[in-house]
This record gives sequence, C-alpha cells and structure tokens, in this order.
Amino acid sequence: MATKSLTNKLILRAKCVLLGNPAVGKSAITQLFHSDGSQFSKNYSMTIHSEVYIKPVNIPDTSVTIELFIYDLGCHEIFQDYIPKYIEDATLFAFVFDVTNNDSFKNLTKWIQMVRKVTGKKVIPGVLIGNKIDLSLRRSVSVQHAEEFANSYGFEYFETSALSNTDIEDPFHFLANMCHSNYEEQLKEFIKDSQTLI
Amino acid sequence: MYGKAPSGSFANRPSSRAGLGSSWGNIRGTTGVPPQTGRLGARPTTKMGLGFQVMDRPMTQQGLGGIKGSNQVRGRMIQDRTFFMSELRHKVSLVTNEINKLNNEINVIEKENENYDAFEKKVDQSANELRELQGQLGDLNTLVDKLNVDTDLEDIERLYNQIKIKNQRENNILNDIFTQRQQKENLIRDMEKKIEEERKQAEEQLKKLDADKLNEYYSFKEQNAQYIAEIQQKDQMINELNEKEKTLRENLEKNQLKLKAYENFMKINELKEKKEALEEDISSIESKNGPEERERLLQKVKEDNVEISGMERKITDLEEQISKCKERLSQLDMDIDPHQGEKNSKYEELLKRDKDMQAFIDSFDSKKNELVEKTNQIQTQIAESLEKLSSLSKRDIPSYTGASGLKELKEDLQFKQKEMKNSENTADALIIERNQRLQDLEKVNQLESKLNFELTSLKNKIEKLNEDMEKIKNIDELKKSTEEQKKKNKADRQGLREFRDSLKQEVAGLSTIYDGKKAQLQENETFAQLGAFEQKLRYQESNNFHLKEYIQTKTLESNYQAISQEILQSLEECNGQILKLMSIPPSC
Repeated sequence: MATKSLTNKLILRAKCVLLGNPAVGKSAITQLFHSDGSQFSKNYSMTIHSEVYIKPVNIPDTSVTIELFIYDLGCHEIFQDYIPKYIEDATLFAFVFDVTNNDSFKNLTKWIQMVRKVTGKKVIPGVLIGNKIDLSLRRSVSVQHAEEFANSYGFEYFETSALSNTDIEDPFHFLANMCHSNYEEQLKEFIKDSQTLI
Repeated sequence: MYGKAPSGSFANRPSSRAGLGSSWGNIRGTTGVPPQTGRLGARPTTKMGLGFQVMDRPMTQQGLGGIKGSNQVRGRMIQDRTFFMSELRHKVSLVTNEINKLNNEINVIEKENENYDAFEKKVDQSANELRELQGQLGDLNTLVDKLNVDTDLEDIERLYNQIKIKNQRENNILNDIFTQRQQKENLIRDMEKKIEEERKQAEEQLKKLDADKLNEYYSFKEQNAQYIAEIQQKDQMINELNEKEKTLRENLEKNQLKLKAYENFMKINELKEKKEALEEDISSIESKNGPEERERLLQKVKEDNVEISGMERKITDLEEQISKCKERLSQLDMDIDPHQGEKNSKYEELLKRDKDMQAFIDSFDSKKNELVEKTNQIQTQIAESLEKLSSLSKRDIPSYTGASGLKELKEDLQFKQKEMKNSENTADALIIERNQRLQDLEKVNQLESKLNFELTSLKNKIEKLNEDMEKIKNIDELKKSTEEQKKKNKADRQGLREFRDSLKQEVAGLSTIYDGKKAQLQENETFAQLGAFEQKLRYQESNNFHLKEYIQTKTLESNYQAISQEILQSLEECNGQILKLMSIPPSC
C-alpha cells in the first residue's frame, strides 16, 4: 500500500487478486468494472497467466482515491504453479464462483486454503462473489448456503451478473472501502505509536 | 366238416399280422393252454376281432384287419375230416406236454417244501447268530465310544467290576427269591394236602352219619348255596344302589337348590325320628303312669320352683341397680343443665326472632297492599293538586303577559345578545394574540440556545486568539523557526530532486535492460512456440466453454421433468375435482 499526495488528494494503491474456478466469469467482471460496464466479451477467451487492470475508486465523503490494481488471474490448471507468486503481496482478495456450477462453489475452499498458505494469515481481507445470477433457472447454489459459507470465513457475500451488468461495482467498492478503513486504522495506530515513542 | 391244415396255419399267420391273432399269440406264450376256446371265438372272426381291435388298435389298422378276417373265413370254409383229426392230435399232444410240465412244477414245489423245514431251522440258527453278533456289535460299539471319548482302561475296569458286583448281588437276590418261592410252594402243597385230608375226614364223618342226617346235611348245603347266591345278588344290588346314589349325589351337588332340598329332607327325617321317639316316650309314660313318674315330676317341679325364686331375686337386684343408674343419670343431667341453660336462652331468643320474622313475612303482603294503596291515594292527591295548580297558573299568566313587558323583555334580549357577540369576538382576538405571543416565546428560546452556542464558540476563539497572542509576543523566535523550516524544506527538496534524478537514471537503465530482455525473448523460438501454444489452448478452452454452454442449454431445454410435474399436479387437481363432483349426489 503506497501513498502519494497530489494537490490535496490522497491516493492509496492496493493489489486486488481475483480467484476462482476457470470460466466462472472473473475476466468478465473485471473487464466490466474497468470499463464501467461498457465492455463485455460474449465469447470466452481463457486468461493466460494474468491480466492487470488499474481502476481508481473514490471513497465518498473523503478526498481519498483508492487505485485498485486488479489482477485477473488465469486459474486454469496449467497456471496453478504461478498463482502463489501473484498472491504473495496482494492485500485484497475476491473469490468468484458460478452459482450455476456447484463444483466452482466447492472448490472455493481450495482457493482459500491456497491464499492462507501463501500469505500465512488466517483472516483474509476479501469478498465472495457469486456470478451468473441471470441464469436463475440453472441455479444450484442457494443464497443462504453461500452467505453461510462467506460468514464462516469472514467474507462479505455479493451476487453479480456480468451478462446483465448487475451489481458489478459493489464488491470492488466494498474492497476499496475496506482498504481505506484499514489504512485509517493503521495510520491511527502509527500516530499513537509515534506519540508514545516521542 | 373241417378245412385243410396248411390253410388253417396260413389263416392264423395273417390274422396275427392283422392284429386279430395278437391276442392268441399272447395267450399261448403265457399260459400254454390250447386255444380251443380261442378257435371257437375265432369262427365268428370279424365280430370278435372287431371287439378286440377297438380296444387295442388304432383306427387305421382296424379296417385292414376286418378285410383280412374275410380271408381267414375263406380258409376254413374248406373243412376236412383229416384236417380236424390232425388238429385234435396236435392239441392232445400239447395237453400232455402241459400236464408233464405241471407235474414237474409240483415236484419242484414239494422239494421246496421239504427244504422249508430245514430252512426254518436254519433261520432260527441264523437268528441266534444274529443276536449274538448284535450283542458283540453293541459291545464293540461301546468300546469304540470309550475309545473315542478317550476313557482310561482303569475306568472301564472299575465300571466292569462295579457291574460285576451288581450282577453278583442281583444273582444272590434272585437265588434267595427262588428259594423263598420253593418254600412257599412247599407250604402251599402242605396246605393242600391238609385240606384234602380234612375233606376226606369230613366225607368219612358224613358217611358215618345216618341217612336222615345226611339228607338234612344235603338240604342245608343246598340252602347254604342258595344263601350264598342270594348274598351275591344282594351285594350286586347294593353296589348298584351305591353307584346310583353316587350319581344322584353328584347331580345334587351340581344343583344347589336340590342340595338344600336334600338337607331339608334329611332334617325332616331326623325331626320325624325325634318325634317318633318322643311319641314313644309319651306312650311309655302313659303306659307306665306310675307313682314313680309322679314323684319324679314333683321333684322336677320343686327344682323348677327353686330356680324360679332364684331368678326373681336376681331380677330384683337388677332392678335396684337400674334405679341407681337412673338416679345417677338424673344427677349428671342436673350437672349439665347450667351449661345448657345459656344455650337454651339463646335458642329461645332465636326462636322468638324466628317467630317475629315469620309474623312479619306473614303480614308482609297485607302491609304492602296497604302501603301501595296509600301511595296510590297520595299520587291521586298530588295529581289533583297539580291540576288545581295548573288551572290556577293559567288564570294568572295572561294577566302578566298582557302588559307591554314582553316587548321590553325582547329588546333587552336583543341588546344582551349583541353584547354577547362583542365579547365573543374580543375573546377570539385575545386567543389569537396569545398564540402569537407563544410563538414569539419559542423563537426567543431558540435564539437563546443559539446565542449560548455562539458564546461558547466565541469563548473558544478568544482562547485561541489568546494563545496566538502569546505566540506573537515572541516574533523573533517565530521568524527563526520559519527560516529554519524553510532551509530544511529547501534541503529536502534538493535531496529529493537528486534522488529523483538518480531514480530516473535507474529506471532508464532498467528499462533498457527490460527492452533488451524483451527483444531476446521475442527472438527466442520457444517463447514464440509457447505463445502459439497458449493461443491454441485459449482457442480450445473457448471452444470447450461454448460447447459446455451449448450442452447445458440443450439439457435445460430437454428437461421435461418440471413440465411433467406441473402436468401431473394439474391432472391430480382435475381428478380430485372430478371425484368431488362425483361424490356430490345429483340434486335431482
């Protein structure tokens, strides 16, 4: 997390990593969010290694802007060896699953375990995103189930649909807010420590 | 009269083929009896043959037989003496052969019979042998059992000894019993001998007796025999009666009523017996009626008198006691009285009250009636007086309104109404004014709070200003500090600029290195290949994804279960409604 002050504006930078089974819509979500809902590729194109998007998010009622470095990782089995390197210095995580695909939901634990292993932290700052809610007919993971799962890991749960562009920005805004509040807390602690030191 | 021999034989042969002769052949084979009867039966041929054929043969061959039978008849139509003679001779020889055979058989059977006795003896022998062998087998079996159970030789010997001893003992006992039996038999023989001797003696004595006495004796004997017979009969009777009684008793026990009746009957019998006894006594007394009896009676009377006097004395004693007890009772009553007096008085009071209440209740109706009558009278009086009053007032009012007072009163009223309206208006105005004042008051209150707030802020400002004033007091120090800060900032700026420059240089260097590496990479063949492979993979994956999507959509499209469930539900509903409709009976 780096800070840079420019004409009264505080810019915080945070690395956010998206994880989840392939073809659940990670790239779709990130592209939509990055382009403010204008870009949505109807054809599937597998992400190779990773795509990085930079998206500034303004925190309301403050002069703080959070620059999210969104790492859209290719989670295909071939690239699994590289993933830990991307995770290492990430500060925010978004776990994405497909509400029509039960396997993607079950595999979330695997991804979470991986993050825990790499970061060495028990509490992961992140969100859980259930994608493709537009396919309500094919839905196989209930909201209640997903919420219970998210609560058990301390995540906030969001439901999105990249196709119909619904609630795409919410999880990212939440992550930005979380980042900001973390920063504030750390700043306060730092000030306190410095005061006690002096 | 008879036909030729060869033709007869011919006739026989075809007949056998046709099925007619089959019965003949069979008869010959089994019994060997000459077929004379068969021949007699063969003459009417077709009829007999038909009868057999129906039983034995299927229909298709029957017709053939019938036809060939006619051939036979034709053969016999040539009847010759020589033929029948030869036939007869032939048959006779057959009979003689048969007789010989039977004789042989008889001989064989006789021999067998002779052997039979020997065989029977043999059978006995072999049976004995079998028994022995069975005994041995049993022993051996027990031995095998013992061997199987692994019992020791000593145990077996012990057992053997025990059994031996037992056997000996039992043998001894048997011998004893045998000897005893012999003794008894001897005794019995002795006794029999004695009896015979006695009989002989008796006979001798009888012989010694005279003829009359002998007759008598015989007659007595007969009588005795008769009596014995009678006794036997009576015994039988008794037995029968006893059995009857038993059965009757059982019946009685089953029925309680009958039992009671029986008991009662028994009692009656007893009583009757007693009565008879008493009557006998009386009769005896009457018959005797002697002075002894009188004396005895007198004595009894005296005794009775003494007893009576004793009893009377006792009675008097008891009466005295009773009187004493009564006195005591009266005394106790006296003692109790004072307590009872109070209660009695209370009770009497209550009684009086009760009487009063009763009287009141009795007299209530009459009193009520009186009072009602009184009130009615008073009401009527009041009504009368009111009427009077009204009549009086009617007379008075016109005299009062007739004057000009009414107009004055009206004017007064109008004036007062006007005043009233004025006062109401003033009241409304006052209320409005009051509301305005109240609003003003609220405003003032708000203002006050605002003022207070302002005051506090002002006070804070004053404090700040005061602090600033203190700072400003030593301006020189401030100036110094600002200059120092300026210097510091400048130094910082310079340092940072230098740092930035150095960083820029570094970045430039790194970028050049990066470019170089990138170029290297681009040149590398494997990288290009990898890139191509990755593109391929991406293409494949996209294909894969689209196919999966397609499959899922198709499966969804072809998923009929939801629709089928809906249809089933609606069907059930329809059925239920139909059932309901059916269950409702038609109104007509």
